[in-house]
Amino acid sequence: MPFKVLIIDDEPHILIMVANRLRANGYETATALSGARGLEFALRSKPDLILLDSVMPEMPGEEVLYRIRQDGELRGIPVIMLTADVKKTAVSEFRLRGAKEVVFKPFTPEELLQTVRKVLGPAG
Amino acid sequence: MTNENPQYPQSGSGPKGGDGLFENTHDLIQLFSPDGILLDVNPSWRRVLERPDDDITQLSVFSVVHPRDHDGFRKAVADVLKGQSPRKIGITMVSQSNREIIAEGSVDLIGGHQGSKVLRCILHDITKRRKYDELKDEFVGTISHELRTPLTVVREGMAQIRDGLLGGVTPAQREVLDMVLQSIDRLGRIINDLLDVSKLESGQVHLKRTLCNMTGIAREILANFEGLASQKGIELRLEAASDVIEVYLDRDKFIQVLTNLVGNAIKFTSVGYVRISLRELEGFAECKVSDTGRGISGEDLSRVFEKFRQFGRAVGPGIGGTGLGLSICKKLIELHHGKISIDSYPLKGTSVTVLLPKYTSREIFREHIAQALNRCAEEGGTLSLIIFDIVDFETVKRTLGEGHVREIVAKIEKLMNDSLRRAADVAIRDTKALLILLPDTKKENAFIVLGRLYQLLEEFLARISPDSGIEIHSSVATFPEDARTVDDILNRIYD
Repeated sequence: MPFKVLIIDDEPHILIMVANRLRANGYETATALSGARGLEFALRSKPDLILLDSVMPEMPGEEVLYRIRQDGELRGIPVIMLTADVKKTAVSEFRLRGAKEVVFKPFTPEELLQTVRKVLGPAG
Repeated sequence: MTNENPQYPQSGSGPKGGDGLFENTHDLIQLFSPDGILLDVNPSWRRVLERPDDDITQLSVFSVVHPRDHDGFRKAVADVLKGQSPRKIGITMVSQSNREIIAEGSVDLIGGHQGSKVLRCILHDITKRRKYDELKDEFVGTISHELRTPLTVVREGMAQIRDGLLGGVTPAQREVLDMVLQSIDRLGRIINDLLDVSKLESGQVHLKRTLCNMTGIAREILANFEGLASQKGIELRLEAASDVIEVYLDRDKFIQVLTNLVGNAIKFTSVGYVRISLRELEGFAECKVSDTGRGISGEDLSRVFEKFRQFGRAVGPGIGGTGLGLSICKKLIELHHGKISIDSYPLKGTSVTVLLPKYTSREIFREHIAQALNRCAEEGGTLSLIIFDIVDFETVKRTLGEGHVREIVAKIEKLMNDSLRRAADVAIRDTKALLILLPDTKKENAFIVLGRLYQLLEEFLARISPDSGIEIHSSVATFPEDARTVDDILNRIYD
């Protein structure tokens, strides 16, 4: 069974790009355009990993992360934050809030895949 | 010009500032009684608060202060009346038409007629500056998100085509796509540099100075460039006066500067070497990056630190620069109160010299405490400090050797930084002491942290050198109540 990765980002093009890349490397993917939908999907289908955009309207990534960490069923799912933040402290701040890793935009395919592999291990 | 209202006797430079300042300054000046009744105001006050003809003696000073600042203002006045020296204040004022004016300034007590007390408040209107700062912060934040998101899509899309995820690619197509990706990466670097410049110029960059070994950093940086240099057939050299040259600097910022200088040197050198030389001078540490490259001509040399200056750009493809690197380096070095200068001879080579002042640990500890206090004051929290120091340091140094003690203290610093849990908590070492800053921490909680850290420290010392004889003394102080204690602690360690 391939690993199932949920990508949450309000930018549809990012969703398509990231999903393409992950599928080409053997991961199964699902996408959500908002934090609320992402949470709904996560509860329904329990992905192995969540990639989460930090800046989204309505429910920002930080709140989604908080809810994942508070939810008994979702708590164990690792989260990788995707962010355009340039602050050096961004990594430690997101980790403190419960993210496993942080990938900075714009990322290269290597950065994205390496981080996903680091968290999940190789696909399949 | 004297324009004293006879009702208020003179004190010092005069209650209203003297020399016609009261009439002509852009600052807002108000005189009021301890119960808050306005006694006199200056023309700027009337203009800004839109009360040209009001009989101000019918007004309470609180009627022009925003309600949310009433308590703070009342407290400042009470402090001044209790005989304290002038108090700084930051308040929002409200004009006749309900416009909000952000102001900062001071309240002080001036002599009153026949023993009555008169308070004077001088305020500077900073509304525009505040708005501008906010706009700039917002701009920087928006740019980073709004530019990076589409850039991510473009970069990843191109990379997917190049990598053949979407079908076969001919060698010629791949070549074009590689060029596109290089340009996108350059665009990304320009955005980063622009954000850096913007943050540096708006004073948003604060240094975190810690004790760093410059020789070690230089070695790391040269190692990172080894691949690029050997591709070009250039030799990389390090000439350090000592294996350990310790200076208080912001490690990340210094790495950024040195990486930029070495990168430039390699870029413009095709034969010969690039060298970092390090030495200690009286009160300064010197770091020089020299190359045997093509050099920069005299007229260009004076302008290399300006923004968007690029020289000697080769025709054709390659790694393009942003023209911002050296101006960022200059600003970063100036933040360290250091100097950067450049010498160059066309066709012979270039050398950039960085001079960094050496600070004593005491100065650095004070600086860290002052910065942390400023942040706490803005957010209204308390700051706690933990200080560890080695008991009878001179004896320990003699028995173990200075280098060995330094290594142990450096390891302790790392251990502490790794075990502090919040991003704002930080440990800074010198040769014999360690300062730990805990913002937003009350004294009782600081003692809990101390208990945990002290246990770690004892375990560490027992493991690393059980017979070292090192004994650690610990102290805790919390601001504002123990402000004096900090001086006492620093005196005990350093005098």
